[in-house]
Amino acid sequence: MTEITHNQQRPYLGFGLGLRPDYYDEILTHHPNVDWFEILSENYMVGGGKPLYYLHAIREKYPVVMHGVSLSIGGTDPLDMDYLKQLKTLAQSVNPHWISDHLCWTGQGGNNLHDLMPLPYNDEAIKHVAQRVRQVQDYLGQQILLENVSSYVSYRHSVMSEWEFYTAVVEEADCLMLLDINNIYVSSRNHNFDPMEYINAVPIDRVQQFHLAGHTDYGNYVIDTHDHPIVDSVWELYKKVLPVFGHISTMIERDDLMPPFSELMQELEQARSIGESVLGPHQYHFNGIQGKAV
Amino acid sequence: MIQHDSKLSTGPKSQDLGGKNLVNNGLSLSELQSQFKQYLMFQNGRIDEHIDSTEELSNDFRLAIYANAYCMRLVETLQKDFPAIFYLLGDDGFTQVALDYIKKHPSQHPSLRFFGQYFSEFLHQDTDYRAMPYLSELAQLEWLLVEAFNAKDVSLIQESDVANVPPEAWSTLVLHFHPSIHCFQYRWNIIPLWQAEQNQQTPPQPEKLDSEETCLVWRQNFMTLYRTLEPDEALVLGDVLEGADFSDMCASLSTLFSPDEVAMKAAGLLKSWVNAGLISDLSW
Repeated sequence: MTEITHNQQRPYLGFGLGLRPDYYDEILTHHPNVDWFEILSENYMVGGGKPLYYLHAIREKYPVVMHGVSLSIGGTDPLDMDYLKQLKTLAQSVNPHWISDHLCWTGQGGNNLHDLMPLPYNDEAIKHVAQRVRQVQDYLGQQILLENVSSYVSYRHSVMSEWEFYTAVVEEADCLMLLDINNIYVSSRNHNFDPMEYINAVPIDRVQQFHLAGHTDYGNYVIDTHDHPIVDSVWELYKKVLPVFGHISTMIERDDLMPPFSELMQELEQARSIGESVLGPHQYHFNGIQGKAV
Repeated sequence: MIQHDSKLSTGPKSQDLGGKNLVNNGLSLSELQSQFKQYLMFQNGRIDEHIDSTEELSNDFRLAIYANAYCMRLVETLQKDFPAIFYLLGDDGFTQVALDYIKKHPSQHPSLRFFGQYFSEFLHQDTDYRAMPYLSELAQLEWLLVEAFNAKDVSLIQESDVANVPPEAWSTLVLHFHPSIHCFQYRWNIIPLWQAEQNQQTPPQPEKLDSEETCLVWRQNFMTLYRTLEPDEALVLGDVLEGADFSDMCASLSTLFSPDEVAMKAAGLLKSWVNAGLISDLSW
């Protein structure tokens, strides 16, 4: 039997979904069996209206974490303090269990590209990103999680693997990891590496969350589209990942071609079922409530 | 099983690639990002020299994945915020307009929610589109609906609050409006053009109106709403949104109505604005 390495010191929320506008009414009306929700922070950095109303109504019933796409932690423009101020204000209002963004850059020279652009894997980038993460953590007053992105290019500048780079950044910055299993799969296909080599190199005690998502497979390359169900290959990778890390809060991302909510619940149940079969049940606590996460 | 197991190989490692920075002439992180951005936004620069090709995928192909994603994400954002323009122009026509806009007004805000803020102005000024002035007006309507959707929440007053205004305060009474409220003037039949998309009907031919009209856009109970205003309401609402007090409002109305009618007309407008959720506070 595989020995399971439990990540006991990390908070565990169970199995979550992305909070998307298509499902606001469904969630408030039927209170689905979702352990927690992840919001896209930028969608709620607004003055008011429907998004904030639904967010706060759902926050009263579910744990929430905040996930951003515009921090540009690897960017070379100065950190956007207006953005960080809005992020902090939202966090003070939502009281999320944690805040995450991506290990990437999203803009340059005042322009925002609205994409998760990959960094070169070298010492300059490690030092640069780690220093900015520390600055952000000091400002927010808490550790943040950084997520690995899907990538389609490799820079000739890179002098190490993505997993060596990712590890070096989080160690030097003393931050946490949001490991996107689908992104590891997508990048492994696009860059011809073994995803388990990546998984086995990641520092276990820094991983606080998993993402699972669908992608589009074009045969000789794969695009991280979040508009399809999770494919079997990613489910298989998830099964291999769980024994390495133990119980990690797992969330399913869907951002386009939104299906009926019941389809996402089926995927969530599949993740739960895999978690139970690989790891067994997990007793957890949040908000003073004791529950069984699988 | 993981797909393509047979093709898997180990990724680059530090011990294998030491000293590779020298090959790239010391291009800094900021220079690399600048080159990449230049490629995405203007299809030039030298980023391709810094990207590895493989047998399966060339560096050009790999870069094109990012270039395509950059454009399509911004086009889709405009498509969502300006559905009536998209409906009117069709897929190809809208994509061309959007790509022209993206080049002229690249995003400078962390949130995509602000990307379309110059679209109406662009359609008004650009030589390719200003011959179709209804596009700019329609874009203005659609953008104000987006603004109203995201506007700050404030509490609203009720009719009882108006009843409690002391008689001596009315002459200097100032109305404070909900932040979602915007009025704008238009000269083309943009309302039926917008409604055609909402109802998925064939859009009417764009036509110039006999006279300029005013549209009010606001949000009530999380619904974004609009209505065209009669000339008298357009006149006084424009004034009070600029800070005119109740006596100024009555003075404006006196240019349209007899002295006997002015007070009743002003009170009627105030009541309708309160009931429509337009007024957040009163001061005097």
